[in-house]
Amino acid sequence: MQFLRPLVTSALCMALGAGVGASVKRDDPLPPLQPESVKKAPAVPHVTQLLPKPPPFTSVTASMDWVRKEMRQGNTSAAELLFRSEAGLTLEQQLALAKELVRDFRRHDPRTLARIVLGLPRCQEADHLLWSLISTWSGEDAEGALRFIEALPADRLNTVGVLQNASWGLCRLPAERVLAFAAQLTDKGRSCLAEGLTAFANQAGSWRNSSAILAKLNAKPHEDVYSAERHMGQHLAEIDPQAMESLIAAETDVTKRDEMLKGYAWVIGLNDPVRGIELNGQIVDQRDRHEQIEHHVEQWLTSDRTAALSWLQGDVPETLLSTAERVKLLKSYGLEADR
Amino acid sequence: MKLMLQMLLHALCLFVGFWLASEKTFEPSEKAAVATQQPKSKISIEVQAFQPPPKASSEAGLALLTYENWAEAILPISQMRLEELPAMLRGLLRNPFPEVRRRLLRCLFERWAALDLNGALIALRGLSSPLLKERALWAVLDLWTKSDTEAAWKWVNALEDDSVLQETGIEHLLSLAADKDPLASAAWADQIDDVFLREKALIQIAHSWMSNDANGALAALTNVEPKRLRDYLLSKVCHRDGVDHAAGLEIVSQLPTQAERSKLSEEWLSAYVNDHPQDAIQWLLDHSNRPELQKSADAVGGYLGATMKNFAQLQSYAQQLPSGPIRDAFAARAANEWASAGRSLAEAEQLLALCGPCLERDRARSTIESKRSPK
Repeated sequence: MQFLRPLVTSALCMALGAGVGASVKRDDPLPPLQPESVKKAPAVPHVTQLLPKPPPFTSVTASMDWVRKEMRQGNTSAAELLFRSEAGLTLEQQLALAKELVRDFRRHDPRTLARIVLGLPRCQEADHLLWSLISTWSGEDAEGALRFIEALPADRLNTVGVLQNASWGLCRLPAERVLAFAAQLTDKGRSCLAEGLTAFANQAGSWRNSSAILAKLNAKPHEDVYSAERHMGQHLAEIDPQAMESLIAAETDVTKRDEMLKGYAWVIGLNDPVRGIELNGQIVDQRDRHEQIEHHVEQWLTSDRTAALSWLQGDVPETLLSTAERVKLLKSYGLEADR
Repeated sequence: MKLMLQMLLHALCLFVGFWLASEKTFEPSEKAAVATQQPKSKISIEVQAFQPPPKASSEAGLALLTYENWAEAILPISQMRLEELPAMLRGLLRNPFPEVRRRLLRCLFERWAALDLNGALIALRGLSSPLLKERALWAVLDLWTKSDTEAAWKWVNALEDDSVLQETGIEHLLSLAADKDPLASAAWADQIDDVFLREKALIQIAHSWMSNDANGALAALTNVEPKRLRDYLLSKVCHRDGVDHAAGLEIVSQLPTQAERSKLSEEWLSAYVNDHPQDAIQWLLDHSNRPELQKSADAVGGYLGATMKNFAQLQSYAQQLPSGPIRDAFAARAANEWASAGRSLAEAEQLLALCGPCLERDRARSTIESKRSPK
């Protein structure tokens, strides 16, 4: 019994010590993390926790307000957070948001917008957004936009939408830079680029620069693309018709000459329909010639019906308009051809 | 002695108990690993996140400005010393937002040109982006022309190795001159050999004139030379705020050819109906005896068909027009737009019934048919 009491008191002391030890452990202000949690929580997910979570989608306006608020606080990549898979947006919502972001170009880094637009599933609306982005971007930062389109896959790059819109900026860049880029284009791509450069000749860049590019671009008219020659015909019809008539007369390539005539005749014909039709009559390709003249006569009928009907009922050569087409047009007005 | 031993024993038990219970608090190896991994990274991120941003007026600060706060740099830039500007330019060129770069570049080059014109000219020619070079040049020219326009022209004319910059310089100088005397600037521009540069210059002059005084440009139209400038002004001034559309349409009605009158009346009535629909339709009703208004009637009918809610009123407008090309164009296009907007197809048909046979009616009928539900 005499040993029992010291044993009991010693056990009590040990228990007391353990109690104090345990309480010290609980009160530790920096609790140690379990090794497992370190392994399960690597650095990137931890960073993710620090990024703000976008509110659930209710409307484009609300999401845009959130993006602006975040950007005011320095979170310049906020827009991209809206498109993360966990945000759970439908395609329609994604397109609506992307459209608004592209429209709000001035607030964003174009590379962020590009990542968003390219992240959308490929569809017509996404393509239109891409073209819209390229158009604005190339006007604000031609070299940046060029670096972006250079990295596009060939099937997306060699399109009218991309290259025509990019031309708004490309026409201002040094010719050698644009030609180096053009080396990666297909025949159609070069044709699109030529079309874009000519289309903007009277608005941006300098014709000296654009013509230096065009001279070495080796672009030819392509069936899916509005040709550079046609644009040139339209431009010069307005600002220097004599020069255009000289170019037409000097052109030996029949396809190019026909394209020049299409553009030139259309604009001339808006002010002088008979002269426009005569010029169209010089187009060598019969199908193109008839299409152009038919289009022209329709335009005339909807702007000055009396004069156009009078011409149609007159002695119109078969080479200009087929009898069948003439009969069809007159029939639209309840009239019959005289012959 | 026994008491001492008992006390030592109890103290030892107390310590053993404490050590056993709190053993992991002092475990060395794992704690070291934890300390070097997660808490450290967390702290470093937080430190990064809450570091005060660099001042907007520093090189690093300019690189970080966004559209939301770019204006904070305007005042500091306008007070900077010359030797600080190159660093500011470096910072600005690193900024990822084109809009911020463009806006602040202007402030920076205004300051630079004020302190050291030649230095500013050398700096702007060193920029690689054509757009930024253009904006910097505009800022410099705005200041330079206040003291020595001739020297500015001379410098721009000498830019033969950069035709894009040279042309934007010429256009800008002409635009500035047009603020004082648009016709003199236009006469000068008309002498330019390069037809595309001439066209761009005339357009710049036209925009400058219309922005400063749209109704003044309209009033001067009959005497404007060259014709290309007159044509451009005639086709665009109708879209400017506060312009007198009825007066413009009167000028258009005096043009020599039917084709010109037709094309420009359409432009003017499109702008008129967009701004003042009631006045525009009334104008059309009052002048519906003019054959050149066929295309204009189409435009007005299209606008009203797409925007009016009151079908009876729309139908009444069509009925008030004389039968023939103008009424046909108006009613057919109104029917087309009425159907396209998803309104009653029966009502669209009623409008179409006011048309005689014509291409416009064929097109409207095609639209109406395409809107019918498949059976």
